Amino acid sequence: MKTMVCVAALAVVSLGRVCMAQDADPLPGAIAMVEALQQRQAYVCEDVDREQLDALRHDLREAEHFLRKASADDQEKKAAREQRGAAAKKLSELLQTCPRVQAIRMTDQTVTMAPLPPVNLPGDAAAFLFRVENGDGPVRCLAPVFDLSVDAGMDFTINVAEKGTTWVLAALDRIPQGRTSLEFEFTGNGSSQTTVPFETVTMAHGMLDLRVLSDDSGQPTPAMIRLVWKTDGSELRPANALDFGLLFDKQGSASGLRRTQIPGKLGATYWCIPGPFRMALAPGEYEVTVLRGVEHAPVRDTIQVEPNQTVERSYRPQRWVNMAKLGWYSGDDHVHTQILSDGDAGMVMSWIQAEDVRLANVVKMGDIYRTWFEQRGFGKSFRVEDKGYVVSPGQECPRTHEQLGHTLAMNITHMVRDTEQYYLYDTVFDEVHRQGGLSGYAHASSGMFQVHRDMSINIPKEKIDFIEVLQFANLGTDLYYDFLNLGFKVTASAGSDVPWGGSVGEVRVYAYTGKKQFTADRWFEAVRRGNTFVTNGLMLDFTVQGARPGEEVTVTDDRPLRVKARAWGDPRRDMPAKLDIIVHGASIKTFTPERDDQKSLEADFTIPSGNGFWIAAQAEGRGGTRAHTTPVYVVRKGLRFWKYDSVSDLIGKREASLAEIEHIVAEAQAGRNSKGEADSERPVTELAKQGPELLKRVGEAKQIYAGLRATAEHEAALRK
Amino acid sequence: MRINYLSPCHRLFMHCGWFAVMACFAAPCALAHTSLERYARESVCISVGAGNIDVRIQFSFPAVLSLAERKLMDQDGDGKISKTEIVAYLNGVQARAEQLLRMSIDGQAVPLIALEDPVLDLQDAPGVEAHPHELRLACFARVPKTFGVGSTVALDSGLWTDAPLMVAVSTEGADGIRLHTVGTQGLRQPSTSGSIFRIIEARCAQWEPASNTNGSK
Repeated sequence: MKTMVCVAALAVVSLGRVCMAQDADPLPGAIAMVEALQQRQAYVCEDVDREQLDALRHDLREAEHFLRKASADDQEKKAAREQRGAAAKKLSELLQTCPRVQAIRMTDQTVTMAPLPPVNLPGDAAAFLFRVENGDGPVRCLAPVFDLSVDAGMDFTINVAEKGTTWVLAALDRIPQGRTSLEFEFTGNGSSQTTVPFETVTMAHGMLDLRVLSDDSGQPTPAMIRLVWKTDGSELRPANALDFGLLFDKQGSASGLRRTQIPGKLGATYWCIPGPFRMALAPGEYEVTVLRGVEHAPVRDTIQVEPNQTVERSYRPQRWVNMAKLGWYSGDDHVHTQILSDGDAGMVMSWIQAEDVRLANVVKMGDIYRTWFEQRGFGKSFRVEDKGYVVSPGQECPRTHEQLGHTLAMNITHMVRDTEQYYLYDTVFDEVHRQGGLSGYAHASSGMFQVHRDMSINIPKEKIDFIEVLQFANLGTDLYYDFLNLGFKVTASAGSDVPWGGSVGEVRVYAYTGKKQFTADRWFEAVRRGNTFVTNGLMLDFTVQGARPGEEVTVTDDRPLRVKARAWGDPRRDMPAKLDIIVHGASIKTFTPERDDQKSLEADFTIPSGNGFWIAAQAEGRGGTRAHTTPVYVVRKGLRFWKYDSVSDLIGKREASLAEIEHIVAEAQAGRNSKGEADSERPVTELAKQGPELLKRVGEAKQIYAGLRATAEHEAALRK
Repeated sequence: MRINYLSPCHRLFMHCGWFAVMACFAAPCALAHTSLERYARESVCISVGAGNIDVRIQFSFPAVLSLAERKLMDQDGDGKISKTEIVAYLNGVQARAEQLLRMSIDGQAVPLIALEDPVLDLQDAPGVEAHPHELRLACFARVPKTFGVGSTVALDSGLWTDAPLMVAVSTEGADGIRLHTVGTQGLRQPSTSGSIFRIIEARCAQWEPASNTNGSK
């Protein structure tokens, strides 16, 4: 978006630069001119090599950097002056060769020139290059921008040099449709003025008729679309793009324009379209990008729109992998939208179909004050299903920011929220489980919101099914590994957290439901079993002695176990750069590509079962995507699968987390918040009130950790 | 329906101690609502070409934090942010960026040079009000002659590190150039010590530049 404020700021900054450096600068304003030419190249110097302009820009900027740099020595400054001089010379030569330059010779009179021939414009923007001569003197450049939607009049004043020659690149934005009469007024000093009248005529629109087809069915499908007019790089909103704004309760990025958090070149802004659309477009070239989630290759196309003609395009993004055929179904455990009507549900359904996410856990969010993202109901009767895609209502609550962290629940039959027991997270987890649902922690990937504290209470009590380890393009496993290393089974999950995240399914959790028909219940059951991996690009397959992620391999003695893993991708999305086999948090084997075009990395080896461990696969993509499985748990009878040598330190960390809880409760009971400041807000007063019950739970957790220390001592003899 | 372009999606914080102060003011309100609103978003794109490595950074401020930053801009305290005030503010931003943005190639510091003047987008709300805004920076470094397969590029930033940031990073190479992202951070907790954080480290996996292109696409 071009706004007056940012344009004005740019212009003033550029003018300031002109003034500062004018004494020695062979071509003041050259930087602004090159940058304006780059932006408006299509209007004034289409044939100029774009790379030449870019190189000039870098040269000029670098020269300016060293000339301004206080610490630059004489040699550097001399080289910079020479570089600037050479770049200025090249720019002058380039301007001379522009075919659409208009020469103006000013006098000491006020003159109105003959009108320029009408200018046909492809869209609502334009630029005009003038060479304004005002007697003998130095040469300089100006690049003003005028916005016709803001500037009231139709005459635009440009102050050129009192003496000398001024190259002027005058840019116009938001020119009205049809024929428009305008004037540029060039003033050299107080008295002289030359007026150049002209007319612009915008060209007739063409039509774009676009549809995206499912690679599975060949039928029209929702998709994520990016449409860019190459003439000036502006992004357009497709005619039927969904506006999720009203579903977002003014939270996060409350817009249908989604900035995806995908590493690499695909990270950009996209709109969700529910189906085919037809819209009028200014003539010219357009770049179209179509995304349909990580299992599909993106489609990129360039189309030419001609006046009064219709361009039809039908895209069928190719599915490079069909995980469903392998028994793995994708989900997003953390999607915030209001669903109060079929219309709301339809929009969310279109979004998950566009991103090809098979199940979305759409969560009502709460804190101790209130709730957001209202749902019309919970439970099976309020699930929405269409063509094998499921929207299932859940919750993100309880949710405390400075105390215990954020929690998630899936597959609940009603919202569980009791502010009188808000800090007693186990009461919610128990009720969620009673309803047949799943409980987990949000944001464990980043450790935000002090989530480690409640994890230290309730993971040992086995009240947690899953935690988010992949979010906002960040795989964060520190906390995850700490709990696994203590011998607690926890399932890896992932959630986009839209509208704070970019788009549904940009990170996702795959759950293995097998060859049976996909249903939401089977998917939830697979998550409960821990048959999952998380990803934002690569796919993973991992077994140990045939056991999948989340499963247990029990051994009675030390024996070799066969480990098989595969990470694979597609060059159009991301390719694996590394496959690691992780045991107790450390990589024991790393596999890297031997060829540049290698799409798959495979591991097949044996590992001694020893005294047991947890073992997982992790993959990194060349473009920065990540994937990680839930571990396979290798359990030697009579022993925990924990990282035995680190148990004392790991328990110490957890006890430190529990001590933090005791501290914040004591502070709250003294009327202070976690920063030690006097605070009478509800989070503090409720924590004070609920503190005794919370401390009971802390005590119970301490007993569990004490028990683990005893277990470690007991195991010492067994492990010899 | 009207699009909300003011998207707190790009939420981003700026700058020094002011935010620590504002965080205290804003905390009860912000925390009572939704705590991710406290996170600013920093989107970083690194483009490697044969001659240059271009870096583009977009900071997006949510409403509450934007208010604090707008108060900084409004030097005369009249509630409106004038063009002159914007220029002064952006000059300050540029000066901070020159100090606090650092790139190293194969462990050696290289000069980062402004590629564009900073751009402030107040998103059609030019007053001192709780309204999101964005700030864009662009800079570049020259590619050393020794650069090739196995070379590493690291970008560190000390901009607005006293604020919690959601950092999204992307890297791209011109034709014949491929980078492997070695490490990056998604969410960054605030630091009061003025630390400089590593935003991204990438390793060159292919170096066969098709032409003497720059990083910018």
